Amino acid sequence: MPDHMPDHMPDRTRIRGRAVLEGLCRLGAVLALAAALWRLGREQAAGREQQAAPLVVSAALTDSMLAAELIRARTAAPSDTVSLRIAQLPSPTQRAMLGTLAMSGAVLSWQDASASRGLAAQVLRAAGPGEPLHVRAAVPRGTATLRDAGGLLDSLVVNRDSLVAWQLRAASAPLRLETARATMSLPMPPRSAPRMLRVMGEPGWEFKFTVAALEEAGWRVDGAVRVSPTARVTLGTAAPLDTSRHAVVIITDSTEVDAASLRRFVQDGGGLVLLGDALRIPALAALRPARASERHGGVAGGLETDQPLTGLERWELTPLAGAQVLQEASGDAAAGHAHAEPLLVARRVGTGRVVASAYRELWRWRMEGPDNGLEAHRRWWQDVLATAGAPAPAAVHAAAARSVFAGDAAPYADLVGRIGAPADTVTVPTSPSGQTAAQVTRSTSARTPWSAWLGVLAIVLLCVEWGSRRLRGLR
Amino acid sequence: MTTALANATRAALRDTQRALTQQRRGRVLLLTAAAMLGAVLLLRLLLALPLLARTLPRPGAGDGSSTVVMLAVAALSVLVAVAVLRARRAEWAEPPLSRVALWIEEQLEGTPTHALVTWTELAGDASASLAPNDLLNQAASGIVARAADAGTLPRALSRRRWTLWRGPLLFVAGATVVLFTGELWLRGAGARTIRTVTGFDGRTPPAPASPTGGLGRLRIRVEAPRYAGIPDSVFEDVSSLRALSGSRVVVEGEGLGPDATLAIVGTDSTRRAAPSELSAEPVTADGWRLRLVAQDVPLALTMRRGEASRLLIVEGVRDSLPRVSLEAPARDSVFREPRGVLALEARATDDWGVASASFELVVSSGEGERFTVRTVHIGVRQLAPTARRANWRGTLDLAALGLGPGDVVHLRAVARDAHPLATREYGTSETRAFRIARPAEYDSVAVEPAPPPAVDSSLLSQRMLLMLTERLDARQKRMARAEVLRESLRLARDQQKLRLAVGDVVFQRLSGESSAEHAHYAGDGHDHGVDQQGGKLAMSTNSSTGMLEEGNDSPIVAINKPLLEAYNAMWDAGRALEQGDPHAAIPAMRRALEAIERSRAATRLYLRGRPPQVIVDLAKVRLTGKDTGQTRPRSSRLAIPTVSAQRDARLVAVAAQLAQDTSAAGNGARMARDTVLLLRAEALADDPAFAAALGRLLDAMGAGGDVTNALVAARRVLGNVRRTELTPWSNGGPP
Amino acid sequence: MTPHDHHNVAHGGIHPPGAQAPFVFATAQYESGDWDSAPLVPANVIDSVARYTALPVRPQGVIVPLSSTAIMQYPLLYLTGHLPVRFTEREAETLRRYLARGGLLFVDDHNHDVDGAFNKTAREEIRRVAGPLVPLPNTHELYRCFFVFENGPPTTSHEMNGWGDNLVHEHLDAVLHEGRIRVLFSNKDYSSEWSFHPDNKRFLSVDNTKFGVNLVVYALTR
Repeated sequence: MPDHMPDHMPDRTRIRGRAVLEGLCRLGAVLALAAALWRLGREQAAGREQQAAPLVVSAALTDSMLAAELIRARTAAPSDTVSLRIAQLPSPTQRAMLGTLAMSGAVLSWQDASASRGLAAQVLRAAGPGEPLHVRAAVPRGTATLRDAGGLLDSLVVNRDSLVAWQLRAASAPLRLETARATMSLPMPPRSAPRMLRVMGEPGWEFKFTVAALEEAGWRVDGAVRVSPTARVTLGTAAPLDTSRHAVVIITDSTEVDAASLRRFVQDGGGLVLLGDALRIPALAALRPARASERHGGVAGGLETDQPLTGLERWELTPLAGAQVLQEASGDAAAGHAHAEPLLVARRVGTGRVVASAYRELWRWRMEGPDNGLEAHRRWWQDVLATAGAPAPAAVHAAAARSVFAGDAAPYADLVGRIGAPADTVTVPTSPSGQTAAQVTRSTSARTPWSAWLGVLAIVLLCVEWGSRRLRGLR
Repeated sequence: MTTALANATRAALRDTQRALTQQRRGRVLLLTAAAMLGAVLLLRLLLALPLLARTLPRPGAGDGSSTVVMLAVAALSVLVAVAVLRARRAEWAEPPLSRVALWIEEQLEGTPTHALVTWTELAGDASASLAPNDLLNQAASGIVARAADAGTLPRALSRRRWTLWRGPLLFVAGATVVLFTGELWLRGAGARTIRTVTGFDGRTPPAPASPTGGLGRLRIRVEAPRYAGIPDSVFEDVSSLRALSGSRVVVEGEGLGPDATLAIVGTDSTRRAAPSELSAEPVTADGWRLRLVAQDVPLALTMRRGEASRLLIVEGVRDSLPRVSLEAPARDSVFREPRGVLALEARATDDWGVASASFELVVSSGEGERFTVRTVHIGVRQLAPTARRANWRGTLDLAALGLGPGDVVHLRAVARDAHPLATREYGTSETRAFRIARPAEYDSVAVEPAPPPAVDSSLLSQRMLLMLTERLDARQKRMARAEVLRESLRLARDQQKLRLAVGDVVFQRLSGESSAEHAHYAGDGHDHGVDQQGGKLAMSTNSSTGMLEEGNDSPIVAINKPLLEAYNAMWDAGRALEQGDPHAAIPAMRRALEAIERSRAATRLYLRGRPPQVIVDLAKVRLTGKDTGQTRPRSSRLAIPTVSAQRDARLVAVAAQLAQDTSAAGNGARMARDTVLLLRAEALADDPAFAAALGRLLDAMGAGGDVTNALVAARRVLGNVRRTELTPWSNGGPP
Repeated sequence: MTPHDHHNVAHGGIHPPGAQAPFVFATAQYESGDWDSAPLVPANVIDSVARYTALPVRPQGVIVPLSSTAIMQYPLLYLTGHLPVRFTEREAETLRRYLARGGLLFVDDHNHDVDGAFNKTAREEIRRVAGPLVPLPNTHELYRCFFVFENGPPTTSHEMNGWGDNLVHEHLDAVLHEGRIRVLFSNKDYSSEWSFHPDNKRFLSVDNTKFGVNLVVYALTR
């Protein structure tokens, strides 16, 4: 006999509604459980599939292990196809082994599981004090994250395949670049012997403040200015101009220069920066990237605004053949001119670069400009020198006698050359070449534990159904 | 049947009914509790699932969202309880007596006779109308007696209670245990709190004590200097505190005295030892004590005993000088005779209190090579030392100073704060200069230093002209055209006079001479750096045609651009008035007025004793000197040190230490904390944003949990990473 | 020479005209005293610079108010006087910014009196604006950058003329920032020493304005 009987009889429709709800809950729970089981099954199958995969060439496989496996496969079933799944580009020895196997007549079939999806990066050290790192990367659409030993440095989202670049004043190895599908570890180039700057010009405020800004930024500067026919003021040591010692030559005013040595310097790879007035030196007509025709006054009071460069006097530059305009003033800032005025023009001469700036009297930016003018003036010079000067040359290592396998420069192409194209032909870009080859691995994509969530859903639905039934009085 | 028996039976029935009701209600309550706990458990499980599945980052234990979550859970469980109660309200009611009787009969062995039930139906209530017969009475009481005798009834009741309550009770117990252990497990070992105390006025409560580092509990007392009037504060276990420079800091602990070193933290990560500032008292039974004095620079106190060590950073806050402003008199002046009384008024503010205030006068007299100077203080007053603001007044009687022609009096207000150092600087206000004019200077132009030379007062001022023009404009509709024209021409003539006077001032300044000797004007053939174009004046542009060194013969003395603008605006106004259009002249006049006001505020130029103009003939003297200079080397400037790269490297080391040693009390974690404390003390002077970010990092480390976000944010503040644009020309930086 | 003579200012044929901005000698005008007590000094220094160097220079100096930002156009500034010096807040702020950006202020006590009003007040004002004045060692670059002065600052004939403090100051004082002079303070009264018309130099056997040339060359090249 029931302990209690309901004291009132609920109406039929409510009972029916509740019954339908409970039925749905139970159905839902059953479906969720089924889905969970199905997903589990699929994951199992995927796992099993991997286990049943043929020989996997990965980082864990050493040369001797690969050799043993190949020998075993060949002796066990000599006429069968040797199937490989290459998860990571094999080492030179392994490539040689596989190549030999292919040449001996075995049939090799391999799947390419090593490709990274279009990730290429390069790290340079800019020539300059502190030698900041310059990282450039070609990344696919999505998120690109830059990390180093201390954690996340920067992360940005790009809408389409594009080039991204960072300048790092400080970073600790190892540097890693991550996208959604691939991780790349970047080598840090070693620091090289720092080079000096040479400044030529006339004694005056422009010379003084240019040298002051460069020295405060950390550069070593040498050069000389003539104060009187018998007296000069010398900076640093008077070493002859050479690309091993000097990175960039800067000419601030219209002064007498040794055009031949400058030309030699630039053709050997040095950089040359010409400020507005220096473009008028007739001896440099062959080197300069633009011709300076007339002077335009700066906007009155422009030095105190947030665009102080508009307040500086400028030369009107006409780029010569072969030169490229790097920076322009926007049309409306150049008072009255419809077209944009070039501010920075560059040109390649031999292996070096010549950069011309339209500005005169840049020292006014530092003295008369806004409060951040000191810092901004210095940074402007850093940027111009970075454009003009070549990056710090990488140290050359003389490798002791080490057997160099052919094809080290392009391991993927070498592999294809030895054993043929992969079974599923996926065109992938070659991995960045060089002595310091980067390792490319593919990280597992984040998997959402669907089965767990489905299980929880099933439990919840069952609880709801049981609760509803109990509340109704049924068991 | 006797009434007594019936009553006894009835009573027994009632007792049983009560017991059964109790059991039912108890069950309902237990079910409610079970439902609540079940809801809480389920929610907690759902919230902890991400932790278990490791798909989302761990929520920090210090999340403010946890209280919200707890409130939500509590609210939900209350709702569930209410729902269950409502659903079970039927069970809450008393069972009817007949059912009770039936239940009693069922508890007895053998098939039930239902006598008690029948009896209850007939006579259960005292007011029953039908009286049962004797047989029934006897049978009923017999049943009751049997039930009571063998103890069957109590046993049955307790068995039933157990049956009813067993399920929910077990569930409640189990859920409580699961919840409790789950909480303990999720929270991990108790986090140690190491608070950084940021307020130094003693009002923040001391941080909860928890011994760290093996040195035991420390007690830190800060005694501020007496003049500041701050009460002493006591802190328990802090790693960094701020105190007024000059405060005495006493660190006390138990056990053996540690080896203590005190160092001054410099911004370039150098540390200069300052052992003389630290004094250790001999160890007594109470423990050890260290004393030091806070200074303007941060100090780092390291205490070491065996393997344990503690770091304490003492940031000294400088006592700044009072800020003084002289309210009256407001301007410099020139007096013809040294007569008059000036009212003086000044005010000062200080961060800890103004102690004394006065006016200082410096009287200079003399000329040529001989000048004598005396200094006088007037209106000296002492103030209550904790007065953060002070106002004081005085009077200056020029006659009492004994001044003669040519003397200059410089007046300023001076205030000292309560700092006890005798050689300390004091706060001063701006200086007002009062000159007694020499008779010879009365005739020269523009002797006053303050406003620019006023145009002749017989001329109508621009303001007056504007007013008249506005009145004419208002009236012109009612007037005849000829009359409007006449009035307008009259105004135009006055405007022209004013414009010419302003033009005189402009050119007078340019040539440095008064216009009495040589009149300069726009078309006189000299290059003043000012062009006249169509009646208006314009500054020469800096184009190659107008460089001032070519044929320039007059110095450009701070060309007063606003006066040029006033001149041009007056020209526009004059032309409009000449055409009989006062309405068009009004905006131009307003512009002119505004420009004149601006020029009054801009230049405080005075031309006194016209200096002789010597112009060097460069062509004649170039390189005619007998001596020659020599080639000399130039010393190079020092590079501005960039500490951001080193600071970044140190933060990376901290990250590595934290990654290796994840427990909060481990050695690695403590070393990481000390490194961050020192880094923050270094950055206080030159990078306060970075110091603030490090403070947040320290808070995150103290609260336990994941500090990655705080670390990344601190590194970002250093600004070492810059996104750049890539062009084919970029070689390491953008052009 | 009257101000109305027209002069064709060529640059001695060394530089094409208009090529480079010439050096302009600027005198600071401050509110509180007699800033114009040495009006011939600018012409004298300009004359010496033209005599001994090839630096392009404007033939006439300028006067700039210390409170206006126009001083930023002249990174070398000359300040002198007899009367007490008290900078207004705007002058102090402008001067502070000027020195931080790289300007050089040359202050000369026209009284040559260490107890005088100018010396005491100017030192106090400079301490508030730029920092403490320290003695400049006589081996500093300033004394060697063009002409060589072995014993430091050259003595002036006015130092011992009976007025003032009658002391020969062996050092100049300066506010240094990492070895570079920001403020140069002289008690040796160069203002009186150089207050003569430059044409009178031919009557002097020793040109006593050479130190001014050193100062200008130091400012323009260091």
